[in-house]
Amino acid sequence: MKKAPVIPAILMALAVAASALYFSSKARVAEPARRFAAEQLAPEWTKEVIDIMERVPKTDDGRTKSLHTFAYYELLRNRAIPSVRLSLEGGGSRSLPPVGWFLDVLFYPEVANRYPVFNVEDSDALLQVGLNPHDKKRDKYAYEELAPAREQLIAARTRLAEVPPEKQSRLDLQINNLASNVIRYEELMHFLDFARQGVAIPADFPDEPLKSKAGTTVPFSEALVGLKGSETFARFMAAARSGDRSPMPELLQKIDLVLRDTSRISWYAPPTSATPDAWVPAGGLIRDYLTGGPHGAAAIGQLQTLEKLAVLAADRGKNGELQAGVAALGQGLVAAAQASNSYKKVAMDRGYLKAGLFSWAKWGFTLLFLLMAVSWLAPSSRWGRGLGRLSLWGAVAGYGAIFVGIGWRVLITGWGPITNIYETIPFITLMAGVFALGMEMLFKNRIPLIVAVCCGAAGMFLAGRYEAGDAADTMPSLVAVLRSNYWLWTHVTSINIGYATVLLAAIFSMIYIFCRLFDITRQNAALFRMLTQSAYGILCFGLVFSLVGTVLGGIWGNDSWGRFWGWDPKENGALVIVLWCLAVLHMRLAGWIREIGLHVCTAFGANFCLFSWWHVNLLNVGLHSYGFTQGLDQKLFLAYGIVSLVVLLGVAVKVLEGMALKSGRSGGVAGVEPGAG
Amino acid sequence: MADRLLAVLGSYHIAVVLFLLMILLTLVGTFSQKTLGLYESLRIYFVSWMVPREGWLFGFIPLPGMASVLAVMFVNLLAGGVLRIRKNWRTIGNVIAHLSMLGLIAAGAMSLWYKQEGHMRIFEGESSNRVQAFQDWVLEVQEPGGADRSIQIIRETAFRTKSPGETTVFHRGGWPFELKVSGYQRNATITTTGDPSVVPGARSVDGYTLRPLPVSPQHEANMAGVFLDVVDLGGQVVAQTVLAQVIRQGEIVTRGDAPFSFAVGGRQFAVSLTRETWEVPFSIRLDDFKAEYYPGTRKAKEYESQVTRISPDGSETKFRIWMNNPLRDSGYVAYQTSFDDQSPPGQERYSVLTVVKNPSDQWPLYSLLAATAGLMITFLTKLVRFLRRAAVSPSAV
Repeated sequence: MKKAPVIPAILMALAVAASALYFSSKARVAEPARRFAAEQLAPEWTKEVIDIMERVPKTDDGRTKSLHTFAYYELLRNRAIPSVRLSLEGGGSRSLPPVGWFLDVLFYPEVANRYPVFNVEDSDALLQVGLNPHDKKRDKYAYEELAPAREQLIAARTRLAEVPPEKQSRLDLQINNLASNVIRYEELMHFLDFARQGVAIPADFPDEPLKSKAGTTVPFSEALVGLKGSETFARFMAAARSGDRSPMPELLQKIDLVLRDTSRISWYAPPTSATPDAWVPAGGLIRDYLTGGPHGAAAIGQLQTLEKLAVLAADRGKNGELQAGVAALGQGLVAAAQASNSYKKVAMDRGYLKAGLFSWAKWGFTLLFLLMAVSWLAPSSRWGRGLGRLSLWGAVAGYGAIFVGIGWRVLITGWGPITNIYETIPFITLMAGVFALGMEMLFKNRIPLIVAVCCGAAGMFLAGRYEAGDAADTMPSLVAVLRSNYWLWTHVTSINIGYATVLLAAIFSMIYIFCRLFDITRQNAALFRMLTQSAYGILCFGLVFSLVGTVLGGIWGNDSWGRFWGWDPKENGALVIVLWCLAVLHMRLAGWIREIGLHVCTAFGANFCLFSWWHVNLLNVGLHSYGFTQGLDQKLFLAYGIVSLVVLLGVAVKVLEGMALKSGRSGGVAGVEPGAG
Repeated sequence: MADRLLAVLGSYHIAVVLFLLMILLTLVGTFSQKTLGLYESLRIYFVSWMVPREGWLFGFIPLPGMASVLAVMFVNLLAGGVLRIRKNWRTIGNVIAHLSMLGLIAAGAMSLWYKQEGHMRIFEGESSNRVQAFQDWVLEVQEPGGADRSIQIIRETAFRTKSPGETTVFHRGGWPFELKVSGYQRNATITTTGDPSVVPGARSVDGYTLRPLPVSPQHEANMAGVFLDVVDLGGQVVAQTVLAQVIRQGEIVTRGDAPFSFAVGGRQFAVSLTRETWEVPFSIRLDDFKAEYYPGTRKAKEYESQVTRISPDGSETKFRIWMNNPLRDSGYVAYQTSFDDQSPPGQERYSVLTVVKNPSDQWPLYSLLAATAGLMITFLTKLVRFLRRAAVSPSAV
């Protein structure tokens, strides 16, 4: 059987393109030339310490997650990759896991400030705030290098806060991000300052026992205890309660400043029976101690622990004690979390991120793709068939990994599989894969299989890129309107199955168009019939799921916002997909399109899907504000362009074949259109 | 003859053209929301019979409005998808699906014409039966001491002129006067003539004038302003005023809907410019309002109003209203929309409920059930037939 060598050729070209993409993305995160002397660096944290600290719960953005998750996204936000690798003098390197980096920033800020962890996409952004950039356009910078421009960065950020996002240039966005990252970093960096520096007691402080220490610096906890027990504080509080707004005593001002600085880091105090959900920030401990709040009793002991650790960190000779102390601190926090029954999800959260299932699936699918490309060189040989079977099971395993990953997330969040834009990507990938593998079971001709493998690889690459670009926790807490598992499982999933099926139908149609374009296997009517049946059948599924999902969305809107339909952009996007499916099916009935026409239309449907899935989020108008996105315009228009190009090729095929048929030059062409199935 | 007519009206060609038109209108209307805001894009594209000139494609291609496209689609569906379609066990699913779509379009028309919507702002411990419209301004005219104390309403659409230079004249039976409304601004505030931002020579009454403000795409943020001349039947101006809200630095300082009183022929009248309000046949008392935030953030996790519905006969029923869980009662639906998240805990807070009366409230649900059933029957029978054929002759690739 004469298989045209075109398919393997296309596949090889795609493989080369994919690997080029991979290596170029690797090249872009290459390390800077900066090298560290081993003795300049802080002592490494032991595996035990890292392992314990990763499991420490940390409340952030309303969710209690593992410290590993927090540090991972903190690093991803700054750096675009979630780990730090430092080049050492005399060769070799040392890599820091996210929590290792986090602990360095806390305990050794003077060392961590030299780590190149701030990603700058375009060095021009640095010129604008008066810094001398490195030679490379895109490079990583240390806090130390950015610190001189701190004021300019913050001033620029304040200025940009007034400018609407769509009017901000690319550089503006970068400066804004960089400024935010620097501020967030500083919060971590200064977190233990109070423990390191202590408090200077004002010379005129009138009450014992601090009076005798006036003018000297005492540990923070000692100053806090002294202040709480003093006449001065009692008088101030009494005055404040009676509505008198007299200025704070100087010592209280200093303590208040620490209280504010340490308020964001909320990994410290575990919940109590009084506040079951709240992991209060360290600042909250201080406030509770002063005002008699629920965590006040434990505050001094916990602050003293941090003070002791900060002193140990200053002396490299006592590193062993420091490690043991940090491990004990972590163990205490984990034990407290276990006691308050909030630990299970924290452990799952860390496990999910550590497992990296989507990343495994990504590389697995890429490998399968290459395997399949090889197997297609000689599809009917024994090893070709073996590779084919291997690919099938590999694809099943890959989608299994995605399924487990999604299920894991559902168990952690307690909500349906899709609650934000990121989660649409693995879900749509999984659904497209399931349908494609179903087609493979039906037709057993490897075409749906390769579609499944390509979808898996593309979807997982997209998920990775989106996560890195967004650089925020992919399980943020839900706005009130979304907190409904009933609607998340019905409306949101059916709409996204709709997207998946319409896109999958478009892919089959694109394959059809390419086959016709390159005149592959013109005698193989069965191949064309299979592609047409696939595209048409999947489009029908697409219609059902899109229609049901859209109307379900309307019913949800009628129960949450008081109207069934409001011509909101996200609603309109879904409607356009439904209308397009209906238009295509009726065009076929009306005789406007037959086979290639159907494929041209189905392929074009991908554009409407892209519009609804991504474009409406960029408009920043309407009630679906929880899905708003920014900065994807260029990529989106590129995708529209590619889809439209394929569609134009399909139109060209039709026109050219029509012309050939009319002039009667080619007798074989008539056989190409194997009846409108 | 009737058959031919049905064939034309119900043809696939018309259906396809309508689908494509709907897609076009939806896309254009969606993008227009970026600049125009939802209210204007609704008016231009989605509830209009013909798209007005400002909304034409590229400025010169006229477009039909969504209302007329849906009306034609209704006819097309009825003729082609329900009446003319061959009816047998194979097409039963299709007929059901088409019928359900008719139901959806009808539901849309019903709510377009008969739906009433507004909001109720209730403080804890208080009760209300008055609902205020979100958007439409009205002039309310009343003779408080007269025999007929009913309020006459003039809607904004009636005095909404293209340019502030135009005047609209209103007269209702029993009035010994005419109301001349002029100087209409969609968004304006009252200011003194000394305000440097006022154009010199602009009309003023007793030293007060209107200062136009930029029209917001969020129509509910716009506050109309007008000049009012009361003219007796002899043509004499007996009273004049300027009506609008007084806004300073973005905040409403004085509610401009305090009535303006005037006397004509010994009778006392009052007119005010206000958002339209209407009454529901029961009162709602807010017993308690609860808001829960995610720990360490200002992001609301859940918020709910615990209310008591008080019937005209005085009987009381308790309900909870929270996100996604409205109160449905005697044709009205009350939704949790918003709340006071500024007041410190302990203080009395208010809750905002959206109240809707929509005769077609549940129609989409019934349509959906029918459509799902219909499509399932159609596609599943197709799938089964296809699989049977595939089993008989496996494809030879």
